[in-house]
Amino acid sequence: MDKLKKFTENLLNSEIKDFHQLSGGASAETYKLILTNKKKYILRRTPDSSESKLAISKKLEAKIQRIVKHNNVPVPEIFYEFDETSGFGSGYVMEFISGETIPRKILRDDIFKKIRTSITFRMGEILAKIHQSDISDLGELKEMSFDESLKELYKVYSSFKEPQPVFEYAFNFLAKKNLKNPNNVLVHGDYRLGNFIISENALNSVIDWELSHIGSPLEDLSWLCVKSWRFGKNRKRVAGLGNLDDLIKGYESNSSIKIDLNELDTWQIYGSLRWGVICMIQTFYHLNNDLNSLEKAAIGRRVSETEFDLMNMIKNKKF
Amino acid sequence: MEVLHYYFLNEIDYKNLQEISTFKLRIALNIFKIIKREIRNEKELIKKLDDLSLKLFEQKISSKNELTKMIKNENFDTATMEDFLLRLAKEKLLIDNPSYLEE
Repeated sequence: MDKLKKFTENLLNSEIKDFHQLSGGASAETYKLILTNKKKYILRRTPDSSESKLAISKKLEAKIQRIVKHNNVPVPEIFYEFDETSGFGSGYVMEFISGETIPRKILRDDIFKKIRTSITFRMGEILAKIHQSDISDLGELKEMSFDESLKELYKVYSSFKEPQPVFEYAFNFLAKKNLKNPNNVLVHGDYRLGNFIISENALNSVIDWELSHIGSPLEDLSWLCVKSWRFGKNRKRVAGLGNLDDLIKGYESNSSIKIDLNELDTWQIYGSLRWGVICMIQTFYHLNNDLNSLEKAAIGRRVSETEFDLMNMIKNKKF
Repeated sequence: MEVLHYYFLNEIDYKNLQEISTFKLRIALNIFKIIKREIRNEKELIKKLDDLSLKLFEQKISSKNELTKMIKNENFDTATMEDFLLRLAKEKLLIDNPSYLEE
């Protein structure tokens, strides 16, 4: 950590008073740093040893943040970038945005009581702006239709040679769907509680762009509804905060795209399956000794949660 | 196991740890609880699923590989398979995270 701190001081040409790692982050490491002049920044990096199977490069992540900021999406400003030649992996230093990211606090603490009533609509509005971003300069991003996403996910899942009957059933179920929604927008790819910085009055920022790609707008809308991101507040379909109607109203208030609710349900099933496979990916990083990590080892047991959600959606139509 | 569990719950001063250490210790405690439930319930779980597969499929499904193969080959009645898989998911959750069923 001391070497990384020294490296960051050189990058910023300033002395750092406080430098510590923040919790969370599936493949990237995030650090908060405070300079002696009290300025605060966030450093995000991917150490060489933990390149994710799904994540884009940090360079591309930074580029996307710059593009969406131009479209008035609330994101932190990027100040400095570095790549693997630094010896510290690749990453960037960005603006520190104050607020809360921890879902359980946002969902339960009194100071967020007021914002909880309006934030679902706002999440829809912001998402519509993200989906209207100019993608002409993002040729490096993968374009993924529903079928391609499903096939890609199956390839990753199969690579572990650890069959999960419920996943197999869900793949089979989804492969028979024929979705018609267009696949031509910038998809955040992880648009959910945990990746928003929220204060008592506003949604201040959307963070963690590492799973971005070009695809269907329904992917982001439905991901926000996946039960794993309700953190126990299951009656509110959207992030445990609000109902689907508010999210769609917010989205459609800022977009000409009309949302097909049946297709959104299908994408939500895909979302739970995707999260289940991501849990497997994280666990296998640990099991294959690529990275010895408590968090990654533990997350494998969350597969059962997604299996339960999948069968409830498929069999009982409980979303 | 009991002693370790006691140690995790009672002898660590969580309030005076760095945020990242508290976060990791809570994960470690969760893993520990899973292992305890697994040791306690594994045999019973296997028996329950054997009985259920006999009742629903009229045969004992001996492994998840066998079940996966049935699904891949579409060799099943949809309602029966969905009943079985929902039950399987519930039983797994009783070990991995029982509170998820209550939420």
